[in-house]
Amino acid sequence: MLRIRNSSLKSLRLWFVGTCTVISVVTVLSMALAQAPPTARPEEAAGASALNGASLDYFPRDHLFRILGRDVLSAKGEDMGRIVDVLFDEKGAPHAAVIDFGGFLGVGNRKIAVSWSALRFDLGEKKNAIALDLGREQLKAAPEFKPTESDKPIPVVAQPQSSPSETTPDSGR
Amino acid sequence: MSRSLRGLDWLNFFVANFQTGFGPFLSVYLTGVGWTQGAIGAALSAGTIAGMVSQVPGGAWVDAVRSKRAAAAAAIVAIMASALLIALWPALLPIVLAEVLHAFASSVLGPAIAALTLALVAPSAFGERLGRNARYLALGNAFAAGLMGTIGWYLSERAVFFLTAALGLPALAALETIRKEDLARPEIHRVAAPAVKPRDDGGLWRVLKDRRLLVFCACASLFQLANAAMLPIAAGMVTKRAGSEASLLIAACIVGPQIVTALISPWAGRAADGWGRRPILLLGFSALPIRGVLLAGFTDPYLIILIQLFDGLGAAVFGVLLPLIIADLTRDSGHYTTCLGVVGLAIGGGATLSTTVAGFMADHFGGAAAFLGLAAVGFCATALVWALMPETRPTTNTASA
Repeated sequence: MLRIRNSSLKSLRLWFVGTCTVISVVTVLSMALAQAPPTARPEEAAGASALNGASLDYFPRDHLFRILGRDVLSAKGEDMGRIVDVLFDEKGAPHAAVIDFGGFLGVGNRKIAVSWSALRFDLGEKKNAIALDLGREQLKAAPEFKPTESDKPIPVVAQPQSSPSETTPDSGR
Repeated sequence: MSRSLRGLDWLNFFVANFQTGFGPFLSVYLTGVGWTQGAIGAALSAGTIAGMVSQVPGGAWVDAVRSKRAAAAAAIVAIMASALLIALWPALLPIVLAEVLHAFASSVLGPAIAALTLALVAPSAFGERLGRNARYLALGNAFAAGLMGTIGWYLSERAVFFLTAALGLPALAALETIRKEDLARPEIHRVAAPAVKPRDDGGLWRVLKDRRLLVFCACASLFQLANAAMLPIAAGMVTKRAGSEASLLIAACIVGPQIVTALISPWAGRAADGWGRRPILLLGFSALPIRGVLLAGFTDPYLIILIQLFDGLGAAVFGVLLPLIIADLTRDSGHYTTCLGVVGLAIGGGATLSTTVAGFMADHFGGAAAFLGLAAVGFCATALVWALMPETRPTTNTASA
């Protein structure tokens, strides 16, 4: 500041004009950006011609969600770990979710596959978590999911009523 | 002088934080930001490979560079940068870059601190001082595990990496208090600043062909082959058997041994100077087969915590005697940290193989079989020390200076 005051009035004016210009440019730009979403209609942004005839739908953010890395809570609110993978059956329907369960700082965690039907996705209150109809005590000793063991059946834990997949052949532990 | 030594204490303490976030915890963080398991595996493998590849060049660079302090400072800044990169930009390329940067920086930092230590104290006091280094490193490890576990749980996993970067600042401050004058003392000048370069070109090769160095590399490699997989498998058993307190019990399995290491490291350093290296080395190595057999026999989570305390004995002896024995073998050669890198490579190979082999055994034959296998390897390591590893302590403490 001292330097500016010591120099001529002209340079002070230059500073003033320069600052005003920068501020106004930033303001106009930010207004333009703020205006952008409503003006650029989705249909206009990517017209039918750009997609070569494919149709395009837009969904509100809270209607669709990513699943990898999402926290899983039990009915009692226990931390059950995170979803790290989804297993599909031959028909292309999700059959099981692999959750990364337990551990401390990444040591001692176990990957366990749980039946897709044991997951509940009513994301009403806890928007970030998925509910699981199984508790820690039911999950902790389950055989681990090993993606690399191609020759062995995959153990999937499910609720008691849909029993066939709950107990699986012992994986040798 | 005492100010410099206290600086070295705190340098070891804060440097311990630099490993916590980058290993298994990174996969937890990346899982949380929606990475697939395949991508996480690739990023961690890149880190493992870089960790091995960087060992010898890192050590050689520390030997070659004039200022060990500058080398340590550069490594600390690089690790801070990689932690920030991981926190701010969790995409494949930046994460791999951060892992590689962290690996190379770690391969410089460890040897640089060892070289600073060697330059700060007289040869006769080196063992005791290494014991103190190991104590502060263990305290730092315990502190880091506790603090980062808490922050990861209550704040966010990303916060752990910001904290890692922030803890680089006290590490740099501690490094700053190590005074240059204390490093340049004439009696240790040769080792502190081998800017004189290796006197004869065959020097490094001659040092590397030393049979004692090769035997020690084999022992150290076998030690890690037996050691590295024990904690992960034991922790997995705790998850399997304990209730909601499992995470706390695993934390105890990690922190407990560090406390033991902090308690006995100074004693290990003094005893290695007093009784000699061999008896202490045998003591630390023999804890390994005992731990393996006990872990195979007992599966109660609380007993596992107690058995894990043996890890502290092994870690203390290993952490003190590794830099001590290498110093015995290379003290006047100007190749000290290069040889540390060579041993580091042997250790890295053993540790990587350990988790692979023991994980395979645990999957196919059960946890007990895996622990017995690891115990057998630990027994072989101990037997190798007993049969082939000579005493390396200089015959008279004063004559070696």
